[in-house]
Amino acid sequence: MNRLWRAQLLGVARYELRMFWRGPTLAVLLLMILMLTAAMALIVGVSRDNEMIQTAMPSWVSDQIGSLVAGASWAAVCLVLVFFLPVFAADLIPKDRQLGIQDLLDSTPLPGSAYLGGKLLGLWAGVLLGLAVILGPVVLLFRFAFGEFNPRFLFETWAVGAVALVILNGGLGVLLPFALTTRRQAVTVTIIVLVVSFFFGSGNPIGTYFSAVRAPLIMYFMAQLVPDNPSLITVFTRWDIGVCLLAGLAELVVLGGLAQLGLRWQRYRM
Amino acid sequence: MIEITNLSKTYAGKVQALAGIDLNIGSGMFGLVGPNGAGKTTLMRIIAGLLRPTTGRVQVFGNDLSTLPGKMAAKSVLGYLPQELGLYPNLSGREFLDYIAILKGVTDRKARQQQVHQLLGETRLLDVADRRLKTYSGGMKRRIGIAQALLGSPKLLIVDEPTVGLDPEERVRFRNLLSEMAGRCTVILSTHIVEDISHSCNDLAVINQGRVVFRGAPSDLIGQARGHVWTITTSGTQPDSGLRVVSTLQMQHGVQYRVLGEPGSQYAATAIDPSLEDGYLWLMGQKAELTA
Repeated sequence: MNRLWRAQLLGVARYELRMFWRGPTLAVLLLMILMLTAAMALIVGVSRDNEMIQTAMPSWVSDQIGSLVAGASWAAVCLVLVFFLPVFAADLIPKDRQLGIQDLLDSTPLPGSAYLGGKLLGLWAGVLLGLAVILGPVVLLFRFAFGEFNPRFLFETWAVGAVALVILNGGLGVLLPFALTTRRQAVTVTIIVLVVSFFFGSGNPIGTYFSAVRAPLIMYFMAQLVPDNPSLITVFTRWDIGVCLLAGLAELVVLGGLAQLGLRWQRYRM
Repeated sequence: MIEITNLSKTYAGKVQALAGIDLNIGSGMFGLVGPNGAGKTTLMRIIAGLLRPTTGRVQVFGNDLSTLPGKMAAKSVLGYLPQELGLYPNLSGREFLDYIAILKGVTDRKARQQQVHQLLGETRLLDVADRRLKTYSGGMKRRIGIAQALLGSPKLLIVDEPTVGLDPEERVRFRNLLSEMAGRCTVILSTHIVEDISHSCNDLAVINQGRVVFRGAPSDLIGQARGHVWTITTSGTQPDSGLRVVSTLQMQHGVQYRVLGEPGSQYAATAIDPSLEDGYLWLMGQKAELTA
């Protein structure tokens, strides 16, 4: 990794993050998470009036509510990060072509790997920072709704599950439509892939682990958080989570490789 | 410095934009002039490494653009202002220049900031440097485009229709800036505004329908029209008989026409010294006659 390449990679990442932070996309994503979290809080609902809760140890109650809260927020986070983040990320590269900036970028000695890597890093940093910012309001929201609870489960879910989803599905959204020339094309292709993933991404090992829906990841955390709910009993184990993460990373590596080859080919053909 | 050999470009649909161009461009300011659709932008984009020719070869400072390493080496010494410049609306002018400077390889932060500040000053954008680009006027956007092309001290500067959208004062300022740059690097200026060329280039080519139809000094082009430029004053009737009217001036007692051609004895014509624009129009007229 030479100095210029690193500087270019970090430069693209820094300015991509800045643009992402200033544009409406991130705000919409975060607002969706907040609103869905609030809706889930209403749906889950916890009453402190029932007999079991009143007679139980306060720490047990705090853990139980903490689990419920984490489960509720996890549902909201999953929905947004699995289905909406890739769509919002889809125009990151086509946007440059549509804005007419591609010619300028192509006239600089910027390698395709630094360009793609910078775009990915910028998106990941932007969404993760955004999630960190709204974590506080989410905790306050649930505290207001349910009173004191143990936030450890919430933090763990976000730190592991949400970060994994941001990296895998955000990356998928950036890399999948890299060759398309307009935002509309990019968004359409991403939506089609997500829909196909959703309907055909289960029932077979390849679909389960490689699908953009990331079912093992979602269901594992959901089941861990609400272990007593029979509707959320899952067959997925930690091993499945590992396979799912590796499959997702392999997807990104393959897509990244293809994207870079595509950019090299485009540059060679230009 | 820049060697272009037998260059052709045919787009999909068999539209031939360039047909067998041979050019050697040395240091200083080189002007490329021609009507809209002549192939200037295609040629500029090929020299900038943004477009691959159908046939032929381009070498920029010894780097062969048909190879990827050659292309990347050429881009590391290139400053490019495209005809239609896209900008990131959510970045400020200063941020945008900083971003492009990083991509061009100006990795030292202090040197980069200094260069960005200097170029913002030279393009008179310091007052609005921290405003988002989406709030810039057309002229400001053009100037930020010019500033980004000058980043990284390029050895080759390609500017495609740079003065479109600039007011007269800005145009003069920009021409002076380019002339100054031409002392340090090779500048290729593509335009259909002949006036831009006449004030700054010592070498030029006229391109028409994908071919170079003239190559030489501006004085040589002017010389082609010598003896063919006249003023004719009439009561208002436009001169005809094959004369090409270049300009019309309303006078107190009649209308004065500046014409190209051979006026007959029916006109009281006065021969005048041709300008570069006259030379260009004369040349294009001759070529059109030959084609017809």
